[in-house]
Amino acid sequence: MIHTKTHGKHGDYAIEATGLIKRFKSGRAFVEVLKGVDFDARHGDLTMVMGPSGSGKSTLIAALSGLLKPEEGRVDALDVDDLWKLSTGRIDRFRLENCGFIFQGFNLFPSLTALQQVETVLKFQGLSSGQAKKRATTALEEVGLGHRLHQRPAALSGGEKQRVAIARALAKDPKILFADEPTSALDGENGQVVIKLLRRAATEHGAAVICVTHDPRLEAWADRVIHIEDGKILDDQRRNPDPDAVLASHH
Amino acid sequence: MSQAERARQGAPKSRQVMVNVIDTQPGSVTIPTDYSDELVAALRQPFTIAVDETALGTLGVKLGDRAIYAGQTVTVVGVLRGYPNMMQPTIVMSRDSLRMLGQSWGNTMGGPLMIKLRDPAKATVVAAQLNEMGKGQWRAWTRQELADANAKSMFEEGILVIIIGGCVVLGIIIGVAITWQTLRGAIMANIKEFASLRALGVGMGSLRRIVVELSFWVGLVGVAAAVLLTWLLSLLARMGGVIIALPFSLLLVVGVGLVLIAMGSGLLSLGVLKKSQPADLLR
Ligand SMILES: Nc1ncnc2c1ncn2[C@@H]1O[C@H](COP(=O)(O)OP(=O)(O)O)[C@@H](O)[C@H]1O
Ligand SMILES: [Mg+2]
Repeated sequence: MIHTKTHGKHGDYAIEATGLIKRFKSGRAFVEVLKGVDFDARHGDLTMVMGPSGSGKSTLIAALSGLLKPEEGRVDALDVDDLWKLSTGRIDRFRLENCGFIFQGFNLFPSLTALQQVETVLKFQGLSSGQAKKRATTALEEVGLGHRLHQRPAALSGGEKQRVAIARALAKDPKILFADEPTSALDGENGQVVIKLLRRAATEHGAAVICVTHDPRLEAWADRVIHIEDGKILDDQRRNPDPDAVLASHH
Repeated sequence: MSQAERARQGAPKSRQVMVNVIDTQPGSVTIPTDYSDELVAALRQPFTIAVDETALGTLGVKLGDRAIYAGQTVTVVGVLRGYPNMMQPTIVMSRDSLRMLGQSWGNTMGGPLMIKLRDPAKATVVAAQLNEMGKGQWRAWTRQELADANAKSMFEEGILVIIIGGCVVLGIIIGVAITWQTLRGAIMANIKEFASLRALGVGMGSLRRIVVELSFWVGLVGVAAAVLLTWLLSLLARMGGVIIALPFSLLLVVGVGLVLIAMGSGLLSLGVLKKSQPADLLR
């Protein structure tokens, strides 16, 4: 997508987690949200984590990505053994270098143009202004926004905003891409554009794409579907993705 | 009779004035350097006065009017510019007029003397020698020393210091409070966006740097706004006959001060960045 380079080898483990336990304090008691979850994801796979609302999907992503420390368990990501042994600064650095994020909300700065939103992160990665601009432009063109580079979020539709957010995540050329309910705020047509972009990030770049959703219609694009309920993995299926699947436009 | 009663009877109202006395002899050292020869010549006539343009309204006179001073009629022969006095209207008259009005101090030796030296470069030396001779009976100042002493005594008078000091303190407090709250609000409004940057691996330190940098620019914008407002204010003051001196060094201090206030507010508002928790975006 951005380069023709791919990460790892298709099929190599990008992330492996074992025995994840996460509790939240609720009043006096603790609620266990992750109850000893084992999880892995491979390069080139679109791994989909499905489950009802409140089943612990977002908490799982937060624990895998170094955003929320689990009480127990370990996460090995890429060449890092036990991510949670690192300092906060090192974890930030790991994410800066390797991870992309897509959220349900688009979280774009209202005062920045599409191009600037994407450039900002690249500059923090240490790219020069010129390089950042070039890469950001390519990333936005890849998501079909080549004609909207200088628009601010207010001038963009919901689908376009999510595509800017995707471009922001993909411009880094991440080895691991986390997406939490990326299509929930979108209609069917825009949702389809988004899931196809995620599919491509996996297939063409070898990124390990971990997509959390409660929308069963997205399953069609997945290489692997993991069902989680009440903090436990129920099942884990491999399947053949259908890149040409169609998401009904009524929602 | 009280002043109110006199006014009711149609008598002209009366005001306390401060009198500046000058010696109108040609070449006299007490003639302000910006007075025109015509003005000095006019003041040389007996029973004539000059008034600053800002005092015309207060005194209810205009050029050429007659007015009563100490029971005698005087004529306004000059209108001055740049000599406003916010406490009390001031009039200028010649020493001879004052004597004829019966208000001279007489010829006692106690009054101030202004002396011109043939070689002004020696002023400091001569003043020192005079002070040496006087042994405390008199005090000699050079022109600059006198000006400084005057300015200093104005500030020592209290009210001016209280007004200016109060304005400075209030200005800093209000400035910090407003910029702080504005920046805080701006950060809070974008807290999710900051959190998404954190998720992408941008560290807290980098975000702090953005905020401090932002507050620096806010400060610069503030300086630009202050320059514009001050300029407008000085135009307005000039229209009202008040000339505001804006020495560059003072402007520089104020400008740097404004930027510091903005950056201080930026540092104060760093606390809210802690609310940018990327995990909150995952729900
Ligand atoms: N910060 C938190 N404090 C307390 N409880 C939380 C917190 N975050 C999530 N939870 C609880 O954990 C459970 C799982 O949440 P989440 O992982 O967001 O579920 P999902 O993403 O599958 O909808 C929910 O019951 C939620 O209320
Ligand atoms: Mg969720």
